[in-house]
Amino acid sequence: VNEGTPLLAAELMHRLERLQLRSRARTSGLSHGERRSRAHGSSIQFADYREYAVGDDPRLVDWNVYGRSGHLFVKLFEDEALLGVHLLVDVSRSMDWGEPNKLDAARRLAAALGYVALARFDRLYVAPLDEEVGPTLGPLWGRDQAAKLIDGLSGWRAHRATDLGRALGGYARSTGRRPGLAIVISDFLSPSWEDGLRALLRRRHELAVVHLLCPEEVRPAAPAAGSSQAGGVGPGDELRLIDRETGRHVEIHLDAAALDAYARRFAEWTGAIERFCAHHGAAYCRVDSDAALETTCFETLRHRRVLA
Amino acid sequence: VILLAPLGLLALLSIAVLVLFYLLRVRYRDHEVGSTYLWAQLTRDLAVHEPWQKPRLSLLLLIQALLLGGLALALARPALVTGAAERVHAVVLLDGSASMSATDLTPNRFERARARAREVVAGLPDGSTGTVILAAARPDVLAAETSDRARLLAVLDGAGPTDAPGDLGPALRMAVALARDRANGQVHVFSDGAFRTPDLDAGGVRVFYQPLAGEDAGVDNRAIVAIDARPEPQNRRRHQAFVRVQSYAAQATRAVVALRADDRLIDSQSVELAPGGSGSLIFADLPLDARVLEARLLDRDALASDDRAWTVLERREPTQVLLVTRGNMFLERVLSLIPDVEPFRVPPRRLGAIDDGAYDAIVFDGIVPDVLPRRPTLIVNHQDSPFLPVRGLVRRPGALVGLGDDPLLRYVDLRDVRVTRLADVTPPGWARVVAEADGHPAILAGEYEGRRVVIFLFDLQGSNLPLSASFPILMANVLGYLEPPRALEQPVVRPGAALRVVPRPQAEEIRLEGDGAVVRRLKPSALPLALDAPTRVGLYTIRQLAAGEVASVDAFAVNLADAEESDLHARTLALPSDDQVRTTGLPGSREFWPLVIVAVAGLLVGEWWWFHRRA
Repeated sequence: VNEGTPLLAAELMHRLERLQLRSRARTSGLSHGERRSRAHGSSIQFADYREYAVGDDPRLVDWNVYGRSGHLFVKLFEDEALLGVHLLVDVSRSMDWGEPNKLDAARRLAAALGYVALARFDRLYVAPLDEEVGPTLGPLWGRDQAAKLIDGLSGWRAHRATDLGRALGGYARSTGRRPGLAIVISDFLSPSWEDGLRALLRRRHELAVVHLLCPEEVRPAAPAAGSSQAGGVGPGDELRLIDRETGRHVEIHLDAAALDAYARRFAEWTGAIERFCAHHGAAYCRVDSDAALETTCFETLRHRRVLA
Repeated sequence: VILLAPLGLLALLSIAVLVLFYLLRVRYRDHEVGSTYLWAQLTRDLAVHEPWQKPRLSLLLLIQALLLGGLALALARPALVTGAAERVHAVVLLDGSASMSATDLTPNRFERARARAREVVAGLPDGSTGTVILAAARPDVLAAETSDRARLLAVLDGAGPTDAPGDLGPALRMAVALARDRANGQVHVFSDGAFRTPDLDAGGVRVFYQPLAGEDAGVDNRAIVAIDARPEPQNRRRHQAFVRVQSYAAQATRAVVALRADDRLIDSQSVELAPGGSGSLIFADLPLDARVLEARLLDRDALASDDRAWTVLERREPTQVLLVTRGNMFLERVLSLIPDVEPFRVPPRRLGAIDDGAYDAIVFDGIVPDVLPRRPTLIVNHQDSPFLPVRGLVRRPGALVGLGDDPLLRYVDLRDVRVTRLADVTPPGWARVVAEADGHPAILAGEYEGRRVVIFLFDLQGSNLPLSASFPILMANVLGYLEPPRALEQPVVRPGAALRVVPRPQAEEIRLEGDGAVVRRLKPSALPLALDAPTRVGLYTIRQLAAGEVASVDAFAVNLADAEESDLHARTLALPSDDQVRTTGLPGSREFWPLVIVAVAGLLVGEWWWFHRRA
C-alpha cells in the first residue's frame, strides 16, 4: 500500500454510508444494530432513524418526519438484531503481485466493505488469511471504529503461501455458534478453496465471495497496465514462470495454443467457483484489481447483490 | 557460378547444429507470477517440457540460419565464370626457396602456396592442361604438360620446400616459354617475392602472381650470414672462428650464438643487434683437433634454416714430391726449401719399382717416360718423346719472356734469365706457353688427360735461372699448380649450388652422405665430377672407397647465408608489364564472396536489432 494514500477517501466514505451489506441472516443480538429482527413489536424502544432503503417495511416509515423534511426515514428500535460481518481477506504472497497489486486492491475493498458494515452498526470482524488465519480484528461497530479498521488493514503484509482450506476452516471453527455474513476476498489460487468455503457453510455462515484477480491473470499475453515492455510477456515468449509463493517454476512456450489452453483452464476454474457459490446460495463476484473502487462498490457488488 | 573451394560448404552443417541448439536448449526467460496453480496443469497438456519438440520457426532462427549459410557460401569462394570456361594451359610456378619455409603463415608459406595452387588446378576449366614447376636453386619441372588433373594435384602434394636460395628468373622464363605457344597460356606464380626481380619478357602470356608473405613477416628473424675459421697468427695450428649474425627485425634485439666443435659445445656468446643491423662474434681457443664447427642461434624465429651454419677446418698433409733424376743439386735444394713439401728422390733406373701413384706430384729431370704417370708431373730438361716430340734444339735463344699474367709467374722476374739451348717443340693443344725465348716456347703448362703437367724445355744446369732469386718462387708456384686438387674445392657451399668432386685415382665409388645416411652414390671417373649440392642445410661428407676400403673422407657444409631469403618482409614481385600482372584471381572467373560477406554483416546487424528490440 502506498503509505501516502489513504485506503478510503473522505468523499467515498460519505457515499458508502448510503450502502448496506445484503444478508438473509436472522440473528438476535444484544447490541445496537440496523438489522430488523423478527422479534420486533415487543418491548421495543425507539433508538434512531435511518434513510429508507428499498426492501424496508413501509410500515416502519416515520410519516411525521416525512411531513417535516420531505425525506423517507424508518425508525430503528433497540431490540433490532445485529449482523455479524466477517471480512476474510487473503494476504498470501500470491496476492501481493500483479499490476495493479491485488493486495492493495483487496485492502481498499475490505476497507470499503468494512466501513459500510460499521456505518450500519454491524458487528465487524476482519481477519487475514494465508496458510492459516491471522489475528482477527474486531468486533468493531460504529463509524468511530473506522480508523481502527483502516489501521489494521494497512498493517497487513504478505509473507506466506495460501492454504484457503486450512485458513478458512480455522476461522470457521473460531466463530463457534455465532454465524454471520462471511465475505471472502481472495484470488482463490489455492487448490483447497472449496474445502475452505465448505467449512464456512458448515458453520451456517452466509457467504459472499469476492474473486479478486489482476489483468495478467485474466489475459496473460496482454500488456500489463503501467508496466514496462521489458518486464511483460507476449506471444512467442519462452518463459520460466516462477511461483511467487513456492519458488517452483513452470517452463512454457507462450504461443497461441498455450494461451487458448490457459483461457479454457481459467474459464473452467472461475466457473467452478461461481457454480459452487450458486449451488450454496452464496454471492459470487469477480473483481479485477484495475477496476475503480467506486465502480466495484456501486455497480459490481450491488449488481451481484453483495451490497444494497 | 562455380565454387572454388566447395569443401567450404561443409560449414552448412553448422545450421543443423544451430537447429539442434534451438531444439535442445530453449532459452527460457524468467518471469515471476503470483502463482503457477493454473499453469502447472497446462504443461501436462502442452508437453512443453519434452526435450524433443517440433522446432518453432522464429525470425531469430531464420536470421541465424541465413547468416551461417552465407558464411558457408563465402568459405566455398563462389565465383562467376566470365570467360565461358575456355580451355587454358596453366603453368603453376611454385616457389620452393628457403624463405617459403617461414612459419609466419600457418603452418608455413609453402603450405599456403600449395593450397592455393591446388585451388587453381582444381578450378581449371575442363579440358585444360597444366604444368607444375618447382623453383628453388634451379627450376624443376615436376609435371610436364598434362590434362590429368589428379596427377597435377598429386605432384603438388608431393612437392616440398628446400633450403636453397631462390632464383625465380630462369623458372619464370621457362614457365613463360612453356605457356607462350599454347592457346590461353597462363602462368601462376606462388611466391613470397624473396628473390631478385627477373628480367622477363612475358610476350603476351598472362602472369598471375599470388603473394604469400604475412603482414608482420620478418619481424623476428635473425640469421647467421657468415662463418669462417682461420689459423691464429701466433699459433697457426690453433684456429679461431668468426661468426656474423644479421637481424631483420624492426626493433633492437639480442642474439645468443652457441659454437660447437665436432658436436661438442665449446662456447656461447651473445650480441646486441640494432634494427636491421648485424653483429660479429669471434670464438678463440678452439680445440687443436677440431674438424667441424657449428654455430647455432639459440632463440627460435620464423625461419629455421638460417639459424645454423657449419664450416670445416682445413688441415692439409705435406705434399709428397717424387724427384726422378740422376742428380740435380738445384732441384733437390729448392724442393727441400719450399714449405709443406716433402721431397723423395729416385734414380731413373729404379722408377719401375716405385708406385708413383702414392705421390702427390712427380718431377722428371732430364728424362721423359713413354707413358706419363697419372699424377701431376713436372718435366725439367724435356727430351724427345712420343708424348711431346722435339724437332731440334734452339741455341742461345736470349732472355726468357713471360707471357701474359700466368699465375705460374706470379712474383717471378725472368728478365735476366737466360738459357743456353731450348728443345724446339710445337706447343700441343692442351698446353699453354708460360714463357718463351726468341719466340720459342720455354715453359709449357696445361692439363693433359686429367693431370696437370708443366714442362721446362731447357736444362737448369744450362741456365742462370737456379741462381736467380726468382727460382724458388717459380718452383713454389709450379708445385702449387701441380698440387693434387682437393676432393672438394670448397668446404662450404650454398644449398643446391654446383659441387665439384675430384675422385682419388683408385676410387671405385664415391658416396655423398648426410645425417648418417647415403644421399647419393657416384661412379668415379678420371675427370672431376660436377653435381648439385644438397638443397637442405647441414653437414655432409664425400666418402671415397677404393678396394673396399675408405680412401678418403672429406666433409663439407651446406649453409644458407642468403640475405634475400632471410629477409622475410612482405615484398611484391615486379613483373615487366603491369597489365599482365594480377595480384589475385583465377582465369575466367570473378569471385564474389566479399559481397556475400557484406550480406552476412547486414544480417548480423539485423539480428542485433531484432535481439535488442525484443530485450
